[in-house]
Amino acid sequence: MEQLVVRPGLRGLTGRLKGGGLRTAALAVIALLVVAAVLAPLVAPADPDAVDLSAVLAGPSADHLLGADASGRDLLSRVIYGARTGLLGPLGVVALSTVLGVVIGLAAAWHGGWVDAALSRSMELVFAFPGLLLAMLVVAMYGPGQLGPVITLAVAYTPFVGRMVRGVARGEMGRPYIAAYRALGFSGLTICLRHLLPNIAPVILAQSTINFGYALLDLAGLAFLGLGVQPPAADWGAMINEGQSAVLQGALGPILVPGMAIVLSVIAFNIVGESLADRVSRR
Amino acid sequence: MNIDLEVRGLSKRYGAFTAVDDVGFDLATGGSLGLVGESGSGKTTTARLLLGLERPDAGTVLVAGRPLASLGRKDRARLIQIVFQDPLGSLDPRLTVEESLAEVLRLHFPGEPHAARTAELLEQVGLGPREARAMPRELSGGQRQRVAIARALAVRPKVLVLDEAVAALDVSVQAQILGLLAEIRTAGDVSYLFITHDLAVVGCVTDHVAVMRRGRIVESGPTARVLTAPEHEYTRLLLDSVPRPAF
Amino acid sequence: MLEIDDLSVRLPRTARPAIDRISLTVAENETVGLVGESGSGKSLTARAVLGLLPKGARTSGEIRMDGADVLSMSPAGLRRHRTHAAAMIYQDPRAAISPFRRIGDFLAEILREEMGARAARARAVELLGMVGLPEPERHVRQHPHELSGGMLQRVVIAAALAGEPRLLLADEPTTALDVTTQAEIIRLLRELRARTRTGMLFITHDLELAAMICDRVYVMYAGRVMETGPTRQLFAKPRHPYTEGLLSATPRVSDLGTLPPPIPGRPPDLLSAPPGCPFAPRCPHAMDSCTAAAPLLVDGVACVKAEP
Repeated sequence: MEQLVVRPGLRGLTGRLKGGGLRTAALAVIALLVVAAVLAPLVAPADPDAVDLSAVLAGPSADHLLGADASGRDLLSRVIYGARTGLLGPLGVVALSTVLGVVIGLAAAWHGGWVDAALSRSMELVFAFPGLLLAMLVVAMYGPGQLGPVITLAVAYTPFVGRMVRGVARGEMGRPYIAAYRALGFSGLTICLRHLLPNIAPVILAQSTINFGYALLDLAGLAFLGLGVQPPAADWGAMINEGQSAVLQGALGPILVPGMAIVLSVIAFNIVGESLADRVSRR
Repeated sequence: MNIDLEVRGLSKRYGAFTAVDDVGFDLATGGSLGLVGESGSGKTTTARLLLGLERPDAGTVLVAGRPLASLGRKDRARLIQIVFQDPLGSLDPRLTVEESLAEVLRLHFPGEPHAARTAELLEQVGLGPREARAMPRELSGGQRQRVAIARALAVRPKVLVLDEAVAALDVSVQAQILGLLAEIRTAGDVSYLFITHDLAVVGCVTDHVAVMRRGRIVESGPTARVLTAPEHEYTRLLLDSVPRPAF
Repeated sequence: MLEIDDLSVRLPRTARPAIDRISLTVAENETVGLVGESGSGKSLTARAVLGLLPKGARTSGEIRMDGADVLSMSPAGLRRHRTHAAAMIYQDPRAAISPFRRIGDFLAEILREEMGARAARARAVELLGMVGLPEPERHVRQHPHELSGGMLQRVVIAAALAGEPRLLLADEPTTALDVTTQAEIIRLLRELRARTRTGMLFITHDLELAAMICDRVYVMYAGRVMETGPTRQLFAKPRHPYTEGLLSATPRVSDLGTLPPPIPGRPPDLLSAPPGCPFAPRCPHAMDSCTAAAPLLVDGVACVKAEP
């Protein structure tokens, strides 16, 4: 679908690599992430906060499969636990922005006229501020943490969803079944919820999946800057932040391990989102 | 003679463009009126105005003596219905035929059992239980159009607007649908407004016809008279343009 | 000039051939109609003549244009074939012309390679004059959205004529147009034929329209030719029950107040392969033997009941 918003760099990458096997791999990565997040205490080999001073900045070994960080904490366990905030944050962003975007987009498309103009203008206003900047502003005002950035990013993502929903809904409204239901006496709300929304839901799902990856990246970025989830919590962004000093001491593990986790998940969500979109447009 | 549909002074402008300009006509109870025109003639806009899909700038529409503008959407729906050209696009792709019909019955006749009525409607348009459980994409063009007709009839309307309803169908199937529509008209008290570009179709199924051009009605009268002794030069041009064998 | 000999085309994931052993000829200065309903294979036949079959299509038989086999042409040969031998006029002119290019550029592009930019421009103006556009010099500078559908279809025809093809393939060239515009385009096609002596394969679902312009007609159903013959004879005395049914199912202005008798049932889709004659399930004269084996086209008609 042409209305899907994909950041240019990633589109090229996933576009070139796309294929049946790749989608399966991406789905596997996502499944693995979910398992890790839900069953972290069961699958993690060690306590993510347990300090093992004998293993400070150790490389991969039998005791620490992916090595340990500057405080001697097991990196594998921390990455596994990191999947929890890593997925929960974006889930909040995507859920909130999808609901808001759908409501705004449908309202704008259905009513048209001044309602459309007002909603579209306000969405453009939010567009004008980069989401990350907005989130930093909120953190500066209310202090760091997970909740502030999630809500702010959700607001920042809403126009993307809203504009996409508006466009797709207007296209779908051009089809005669919508006019037929209006002529049959159904209310606008009923038609929107029972006929219009289910028919455009696959497109929305595809966009939300892609947004999930971006939200993950943005939240990790904020945590890295010390504005999101705070150390010593096991969060990928926060782990990279903490790992900076390790790099100066020649150990790349503390940065590479969470970094790879972020990159892999973002790419996985992108691939799945785009393949969903592909399937929708082929219908 | 009773009048089912009475249109007076209907007008609609989009910016500087006048799509429908002072259009008026009567449709007798149980009658069939053709509204003929080419693209841009305003015939489809007229249909949308009648169905309340667009708001007219001026004019009144009375169905069975009741002004449509003053009615709620459900009351209006029970007076006038429409069947569109595109049979696939007219049905929600996610609902089975049965579900499509049941939903309309639930809205308009809540509390009444609708299983029997659904079967009756489908039988009326020549469809059986197998089609009832099918999704729109599993049906042929003609079958889809039958479903659209059944759905419109579900509310027992006084007037049925057929907006190029047979134009997208194959010739052999088109004749089936025209026959079905004629059958329905003889069986029940519904009158037709046939909106079409096809004079041959108009000749088959209407008793009166109005010819539209650039938003205005240029000629109207009994179909037999208009098609055999046209008075307006545009009607003559339309008639001369109908393909007929060179020999 | 064009000879289709026992052509079959089978598309991937279908139960029956989309084109089933058809043979057809078009001579110089002859207009031949290919009439059929949706799914009859008529448009696919035109695409086959242009060498434009979809990927995965399996073919047998031959298509010869002035003796050269189209199905085995090289890509370069096909390009030449599509401009100079057989050119296509499409159904929807707005889809056939890029909306961002001037009319003149659209036409000149086809010719530039062979005659140079300046000559191509001059020829574009000449072509537009030929298809009856009133001010060709002005129209070459216009964009498609400035022209009406009928004028655009004239441009598409001009583009088809650009390479002075021996054969024009017109695939429902007036279906997207208004009735009055359709009449003008048909008149133009007739005039052009008288002037250029090109052959034309005219594809349509509309029998009356075919009768207006064609010398001979092939009636297709479910990928097969059901009947063929000179237009006048085919209309006056249809021999195949399908032709007969189709003719009587067509509404006519002259038949005021009478409903055309329909053909029951519906055309078969590509996913089912009924045995025997494909029309048998809808045919009023069908016998047991009809579903046993499909009758071959003998003496212009593929029906066991046809009178000689």
